[in-house]
Amino acid sequence: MEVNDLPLLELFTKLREAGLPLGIEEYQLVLQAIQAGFGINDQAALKRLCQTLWIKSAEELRLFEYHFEQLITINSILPTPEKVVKHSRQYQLSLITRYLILGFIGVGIVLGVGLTLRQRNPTPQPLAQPTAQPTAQPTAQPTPQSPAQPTATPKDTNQPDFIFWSLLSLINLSAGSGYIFFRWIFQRRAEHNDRSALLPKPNLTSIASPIPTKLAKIIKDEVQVAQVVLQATSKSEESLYNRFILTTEYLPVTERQMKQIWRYLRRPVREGQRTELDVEATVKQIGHQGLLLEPVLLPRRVNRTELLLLIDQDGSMVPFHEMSYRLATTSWRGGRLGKSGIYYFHNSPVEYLYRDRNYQQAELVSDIITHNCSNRTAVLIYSDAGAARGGHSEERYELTKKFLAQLKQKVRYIAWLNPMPKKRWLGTTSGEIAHLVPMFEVNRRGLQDAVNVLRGRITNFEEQGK
Amino acid sequence: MVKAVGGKLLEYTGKVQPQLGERGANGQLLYPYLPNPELVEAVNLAIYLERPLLLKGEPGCGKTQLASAVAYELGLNLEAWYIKSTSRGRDGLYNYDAVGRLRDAQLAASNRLTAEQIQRIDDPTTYVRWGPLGRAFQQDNRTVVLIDEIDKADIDFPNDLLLELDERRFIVEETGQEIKAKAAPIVLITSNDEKDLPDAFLRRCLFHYVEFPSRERLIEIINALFPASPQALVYKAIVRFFLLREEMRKDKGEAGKKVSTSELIDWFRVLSRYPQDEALAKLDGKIPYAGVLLKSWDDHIRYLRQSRGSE
Repeated sequence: MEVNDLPLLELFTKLREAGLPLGIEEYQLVLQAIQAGFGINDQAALKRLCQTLWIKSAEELRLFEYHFEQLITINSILPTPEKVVKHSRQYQLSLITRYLILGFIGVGIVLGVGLTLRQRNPTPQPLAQPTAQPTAQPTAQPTPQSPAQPTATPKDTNQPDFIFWSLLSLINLSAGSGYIFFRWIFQRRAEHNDRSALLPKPNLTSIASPIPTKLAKIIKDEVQVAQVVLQATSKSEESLYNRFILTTEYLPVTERQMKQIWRYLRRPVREGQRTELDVEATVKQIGHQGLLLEPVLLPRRVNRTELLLLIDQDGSMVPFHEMSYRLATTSWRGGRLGKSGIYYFHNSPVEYLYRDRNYQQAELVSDIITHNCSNRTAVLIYSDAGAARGGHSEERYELTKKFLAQLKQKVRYIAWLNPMPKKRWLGTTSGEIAHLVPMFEVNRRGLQDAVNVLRGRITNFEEQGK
Repeated sequence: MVKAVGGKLLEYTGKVQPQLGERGANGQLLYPYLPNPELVEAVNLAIYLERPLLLKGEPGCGKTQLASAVAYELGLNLEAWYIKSTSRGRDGLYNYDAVGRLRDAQLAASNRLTAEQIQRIDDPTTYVRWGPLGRAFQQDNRTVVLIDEIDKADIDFPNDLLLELDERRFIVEETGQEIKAKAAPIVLITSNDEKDLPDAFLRRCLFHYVEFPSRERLIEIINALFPASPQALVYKAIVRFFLLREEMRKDKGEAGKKVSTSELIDWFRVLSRYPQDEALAKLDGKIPYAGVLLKSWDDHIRYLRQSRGSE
């Protein structure tokens, strides 16, 4: 198949590795579309095709553009329209020419040998046919044609028969072998091109120049970016250090995973106006009363989870700002979380929480708890709880404990996300706080567990330290 | 470009336009719609691959209009399903009038129905009311189905439609009737990106971001809608419009609400009511009828401040 010439599969794999939700079916769709004639006009058309089929958001688009450029633009084996459309025809043509040439050579050899055996037989008529054939042939095949011309000219001088015929067969042979040799060389070339196309050029120049400018635009999802860079750089030993610059951010959960996890944070409750017909209850009522007086209606099922996100800012949390920003945006956009509020604090929540990152709009903790919290509210705290710096701070512990106690009067579900890995909690304030509230480290599993706690799933957490 | 598959050749070109004042089957006025080539290609891809096409783009750039344009050009029926915050997946397929059936049963019990009516209520399908998708599945021809503003509904809404969009069949629970699509509908879905759509749903869709039309295309659009309007006015209005849009972009960034095509059309309609020289004179000063273009108080204040600064 001609499509196999394209590094489409490579592109597909790269995109999958970068976290795009693509399946085999999506790949087949592209093939199907290409076979139907889409996306073969030029490179832009192919790009549009892949884009329409594989890309579902603006963030993914940047990633796609980067990969597409890396894989498809660098090499020149693109499906120029002739190449894909006419490839099959070309293939047939080349087959015909090959047979013609082989036939020509074969006849030449046979004639040459036969005529040298029956030497004194000056009949030039039959040999006019093989020589005429290649010249009449429409496809320009330079190698066999050039030896065909001199064979036609010395036709009238048939004195040195033996020498001439052996010369003719020699030329034929050399033309054939030359053709085969050239074919072989071209094939080698093409294969080489293919292979170099499949590998993302593992040289330093390609890494040094296009990536930084490209990546400067994609700061949306660093895990994905890191993957892009890793894939691009892992081939060369010299640029190993490059990837550390870009992957120092601690982002163990991709934006997509985070969105997916937020979707679980829901508690459907029937509430509000009675609009839905309760068929079962209506039937039962008719059974009791003997006839339909009025249908029984039910309120609709709505999601009644309200998330209160408390984010620790600045200080030791500076490296995790990107993560907290992502938590905030995904929880806000990821679905309806009721009156989901996001508040910021520094180190531990004391008296005031802030609506903005710069601590300008302060709100009293007691106000927030009385007005914004209900028994439906779930509180997620994102803080390192002193684990980043290490050490134990009694003051911090007490403040946090007081705040949590205050919160627990109103709120049933509280979870704590700690950007530091669990092994770093021990012996620090966060180790102590982990006894007060279910604390999880930030990774996919941890976030899932935290959401489970917020949904009121049973956990084996037991509060200690009272 | 699209090869005929099994003799069925459906290709959207975006070139067949209704005449001004032409009315559709439901009596609504039809307007010309000028899509860009990329959009046309995406539509054809969706038609060929029989997959829903998800359209995103800034509000007012013609996502919804596309469906009727496609239906018009291909001569197909259009089923529009406008999503509300209370919409559920099943609403698009069918509704079962259980209360009506109950009522009829009661009437039948008290012998108040004629024989015909009783015959009618014996048929279980009497109480099924088809939704847009349900109707589209039962048509012999392909139907253009518009699912408008899918992000308005509950976050589970798109997931409830997976099977229906994927396998193009559903079962009416109340009657046990299985509805299989006779011809795959051409599904166009629009989203304003208020909420993220679930991955499983995205995976099944083709995606196209509807770009804001270029200046040349906007001129074409205005000319198509107001063929009698003088070119000088069209040109000047669009220059002014782009200036405003650019200012808004600078102020609010890419994400903010900017003036859009639909607002431009409204604005131009107002402008073209005046004689040409009067309208041109109006365009020289402050933005005339700014209320048509500037929708929020913030925008207005900002605009006033700028125009004062420039004087």
